[in-house]
Amino acid sequence: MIRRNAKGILMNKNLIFAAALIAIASPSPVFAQGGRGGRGGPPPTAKAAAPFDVTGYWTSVVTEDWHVRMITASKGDFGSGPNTEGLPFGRDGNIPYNAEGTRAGKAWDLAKDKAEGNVCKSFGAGGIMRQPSHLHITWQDDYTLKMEIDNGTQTRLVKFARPAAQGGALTKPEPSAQASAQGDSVGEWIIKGGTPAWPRGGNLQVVTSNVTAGYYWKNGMPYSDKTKLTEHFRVIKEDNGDEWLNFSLMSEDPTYLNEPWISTYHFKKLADGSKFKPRPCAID
Amino acid sequence: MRTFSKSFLGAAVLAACLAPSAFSQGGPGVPTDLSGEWRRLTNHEDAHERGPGPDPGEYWGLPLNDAERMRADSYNGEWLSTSLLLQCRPHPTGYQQLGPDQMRIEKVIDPINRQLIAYSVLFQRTPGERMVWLDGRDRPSQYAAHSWEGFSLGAWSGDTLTIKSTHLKESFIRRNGVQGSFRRTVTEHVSLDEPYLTWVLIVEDPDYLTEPLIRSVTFQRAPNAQIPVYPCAPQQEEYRPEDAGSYRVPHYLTATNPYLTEVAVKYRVPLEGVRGGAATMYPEYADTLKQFKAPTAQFTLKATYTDDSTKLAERLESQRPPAPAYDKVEALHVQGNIFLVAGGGGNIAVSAGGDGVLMVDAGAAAASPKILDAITQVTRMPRPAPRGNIAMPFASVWQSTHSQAPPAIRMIIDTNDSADHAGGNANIASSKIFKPIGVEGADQAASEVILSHESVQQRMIAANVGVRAQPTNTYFSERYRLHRFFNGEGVEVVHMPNAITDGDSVVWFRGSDVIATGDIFNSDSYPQIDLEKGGSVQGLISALEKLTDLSYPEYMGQGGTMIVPGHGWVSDAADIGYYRDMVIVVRDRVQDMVSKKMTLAQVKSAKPTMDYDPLYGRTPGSTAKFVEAVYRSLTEKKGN
Repeated sequence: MIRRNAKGILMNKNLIFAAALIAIASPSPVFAQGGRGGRGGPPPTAKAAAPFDVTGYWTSVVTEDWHVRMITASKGDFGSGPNTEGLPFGRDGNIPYNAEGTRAGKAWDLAKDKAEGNVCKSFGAGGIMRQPSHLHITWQDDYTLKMEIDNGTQTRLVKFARPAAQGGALTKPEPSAQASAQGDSVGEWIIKGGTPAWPRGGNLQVVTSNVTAGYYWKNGMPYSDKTKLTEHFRVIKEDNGDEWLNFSLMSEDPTYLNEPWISTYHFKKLADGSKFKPRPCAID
Repeated sequence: MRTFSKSFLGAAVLAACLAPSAFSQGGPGVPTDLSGEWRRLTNHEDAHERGPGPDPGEYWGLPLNDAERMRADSYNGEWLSTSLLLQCRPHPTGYQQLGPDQMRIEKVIDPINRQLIAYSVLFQRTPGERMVWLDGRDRPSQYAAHSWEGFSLGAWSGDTLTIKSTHLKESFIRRNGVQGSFRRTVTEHVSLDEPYLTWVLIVEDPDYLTEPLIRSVTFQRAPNAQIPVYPCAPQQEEYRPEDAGSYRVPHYLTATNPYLTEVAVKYRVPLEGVRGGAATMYPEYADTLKQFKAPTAQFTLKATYTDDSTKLAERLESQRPPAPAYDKVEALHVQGNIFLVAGGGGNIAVSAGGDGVLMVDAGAAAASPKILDAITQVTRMPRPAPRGNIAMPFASVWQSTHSQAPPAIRMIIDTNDSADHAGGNANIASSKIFKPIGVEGADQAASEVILSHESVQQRMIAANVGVRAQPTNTYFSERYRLHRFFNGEGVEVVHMPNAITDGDSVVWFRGSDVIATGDIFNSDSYPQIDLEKGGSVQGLISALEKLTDLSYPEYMGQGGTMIVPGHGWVSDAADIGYYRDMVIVVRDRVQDMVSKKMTLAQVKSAKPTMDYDPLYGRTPGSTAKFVEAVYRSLTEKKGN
């Protein structure tokens, strides 16, 4: 039997049934910020939809790129030590810079930054998570996750889609009128699983744009104001009791990079906030 | 009766095809398809370490203890070139992923129910496909072989596959000599954010790390990538006439490595940070570093090692060795006809087949009942039925496949005279299932019942052990071959003179390609050289070299000839290679101290085995006994 729906599209009862069957039979495709809203009810808040608890105090654990993170590496050190010449990436460096990126990296002038009050340039969204630091993550409201970082005293706000009106459809956050060091971060839960054999979980995807130019590392490795950052945060509890916040960070910068640059970070859960000690930006 | 319409059937089929998880794998949910080819984003993190390689002494960000620090300080990269056995070894699970290789992941499907039961993971420079089992199977026995890949079990939670690996061989944590012990475990968390795969690696090492070490790497889908072959052929890169005929292990004696400070100068990092340790991983250390200055010129570091990991032998020294417990004797298959019966004193290699059972060693006397139970269990394991050369074999085949011959132990070969290897001789020989070839008292003078090297028999007679426990047959040549094939293969007994004692034998099952080594090789403990019985460190090194010479690795040092050690888990040539090199390094250190006229007490106090103690020195008193034996071997001019 063929019918037309309200928009005039031909429909078949059995195809409708098939569509319903597909929806039921797919136990857990990706639910973007979905989850357990209940049939017919309003979608859950971002806070309620979270597949894991990301809040609390966390300490960075620096086991990779150690010397460019724990100290201010030498000028021109693209990751493999100073005094390297030519294009660094692929031979000596970590960051897939193009020629302009390499030139800008070599041109870092700490004295100039200090004179111009730019000592926080490596504490923006592209560099802040690389700093050896402690995080304090809380829900500012049901749709805004607040990440406070003690090193540099920075705050990142991750905004989720929220209903424009009570019970209404979710709408994405509006971008800020002006670029900023931490930019605009939009969060979305990517949720999978939810059966006895496949426990529910997923990741928090955060896309950040509208940033001011800054540095990935304290030694002036640059990113431009056209940079887009994509992070995937995951919380893992180990058998030994350790709880890790692991995430990847992909930087896409048409000005300075030849290809996306992806690095990964690890934070371990702390019992309390005794180690969280805000301090101002500093370049040694 | 109402019938389904064509369109309904079509709809149902469509639903089945489109529902990804419920149907496509047919099982309990397969969240993400990881199969395919991947390229690693080679230089995005730690470019210099993961590309050209880390500098000597670069330990920053590693939670290593002092034993590990000493081990790495003594490392000389020339070692890999010199040891042909280990030259082609791949990096292990937990470190392999950080290398530049491309990767292929394939699905392994159960052919019957078509469920995904494993992923196989292949890198260019791995010996074979690493299996990550997803079907919930059990982990192997603690006595099962270790490999570069380890044994991996995986499970999904949300969008992350968590893999836990055990049974790893000793190998690098960082390829500047920072070793991971064979007791370490690796936990991996694999998450796909198309087209990028994030691979988190956590190494836990009770011997060498004070905290878990976490690192990660990113791969990108590369659908057209090929995984090249890696036909690594060991090459002797340097020939020194003075080394002809003797194997040497390049390493630095304590406080002689001139390269450990080079990295601090190069990166302008204070040496305190370069030396690593758990504290260097945390933010607070950034402030600590400010107290120190980086050196401006390279110098030879006079390092000291003092933390708890270096005091293991002292702590154990004061403890009484635990009474032997034989509460769990188990049997597992090794290769071919050969099984390992473990947990009843020294390891027992068992050849089981149509000819009956041949035991290499009899275990401890107190464990005999459980050893006999384990052997009975081995004999009842299914095996192909013999097919007689007759026209109508049904009856004979049916009977042999539907019934079991009674277990029959035909003979014992003693590798030495120690109580945990030969102590069970009398109990085994007196048991109901001991049925040697021929009629006892009549034919056995011409047969083998309990065989050993002549020195073992003489020593047991001198010790007044009972007649039933004494070897009935002995040999005194370099090699001795059993008078007949046993279970379809030749069995060769090889004398290893002046190793642990003067009567050590190893037994080589030539068809199964398994060697039982007795106490010459223990996978998890120091050799207990007995100078009073004619042992010596030089003889032991010669014996270990001979074992590596007899062994034929399948590929990259592992597999092929399998080894049943005197104690510990089933091993292979690479495991013997590590053990041999450990003995040589300790011998060299003690020799250096002897040349400086140090007394035995001074040598013991200097702890020449400190970095190996977490691996091999976990039995009270074993470290002191080993060091003393090495010292006396070098000073009393005994042995060969």
